[in-house]
Amino acid sequence: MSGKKAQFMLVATILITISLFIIYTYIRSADTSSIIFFEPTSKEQFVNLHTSIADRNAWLSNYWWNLNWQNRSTISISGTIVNPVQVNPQITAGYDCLSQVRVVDSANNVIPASVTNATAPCDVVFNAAAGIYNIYWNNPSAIVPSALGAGTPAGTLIRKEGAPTQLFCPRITDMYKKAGVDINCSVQNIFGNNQVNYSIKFQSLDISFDGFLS
Amino acid sequence: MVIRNKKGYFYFIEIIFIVLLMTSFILFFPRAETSDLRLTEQKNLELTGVTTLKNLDDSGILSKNIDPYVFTNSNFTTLSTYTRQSLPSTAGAKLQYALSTGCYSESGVVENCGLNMTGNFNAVLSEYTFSKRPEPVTIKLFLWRLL
Repeated sequence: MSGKKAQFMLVATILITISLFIIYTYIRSADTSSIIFFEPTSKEQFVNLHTSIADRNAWLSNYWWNLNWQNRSTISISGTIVNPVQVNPQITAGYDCLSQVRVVDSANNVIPASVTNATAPCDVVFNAAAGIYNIYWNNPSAIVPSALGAGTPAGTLIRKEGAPTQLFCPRITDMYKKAGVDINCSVQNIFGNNQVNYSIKFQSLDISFDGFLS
Repeated sequence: MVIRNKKGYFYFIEIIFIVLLMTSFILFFPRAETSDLRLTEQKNLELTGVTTLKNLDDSGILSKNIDPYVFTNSNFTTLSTYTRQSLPSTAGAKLQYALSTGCYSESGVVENCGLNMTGNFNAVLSEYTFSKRPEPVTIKLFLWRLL
């Protein structure tokens, strides 16, 4: 009788041990997966960063003729046109007009142009049709000079703006730092006239990247 | 005889402890599963938000409706409509735009950055960078389950 009891107890103990082990491992796995979901993952954030850089470079190729020129003025020409027209792009005083001014039409073609003064303030003279023209200026490495000339005053200044090269990194840095990512972003270099290569250091709990993205 | 009675008493106590232990474990099962499922749902909701914003960008809706030069001139009504129509009806949503000048509400009004959490304790945040304008915009989409 006592032998049967001992046998029963042994079997019961083994079954209970197995059951407890299964229960323990089940709860641990459920618990671990819950913890994994609590941990912020940065995969989407890194994909978003990479996509936004690629999208921006694609957009820049149409938006800005050449990023080596740091400023541009957009001029609208309409009405009766007497060529050559003379427009005032309101270039900031002191800039070199003779070497650093370029006129580009809406299809990003460079139009031959001359200027009225060697340094700003200066007007720009070129043959135009009705439409939008961008006048780029401020590229210290530009050396091909324009001629001096004069034309018929025309055109309306729509806007003046700086190259968008430096506007990307501050926004990205602000966004990801708030999300808990340790990030450093800077412009590494410009290639192909209007494409930007960014130096990125991205450090989160699950992603570590230190390199260049374009 | 006395020894046998003591053994029986200990067996009885052991069985009661085991039953109590098993009951407590079994009662814990649904809690772990529910918690796990809820978190999975939130993760899915976050991915839905990012995918929605990416699709709106890829289809050109963001480019058409976000003003490239003056952000407050953007068509906020259209942006809101497209975003909400792209989301499941079981999800509550709030849009917010972040620029260097601050955060803007779904209707283009300056507001505090982030979500007022009252009533939205399970909200998740999907963020997307719209970079096809001189200054990029961070689009924040807060999502939560309505049911």
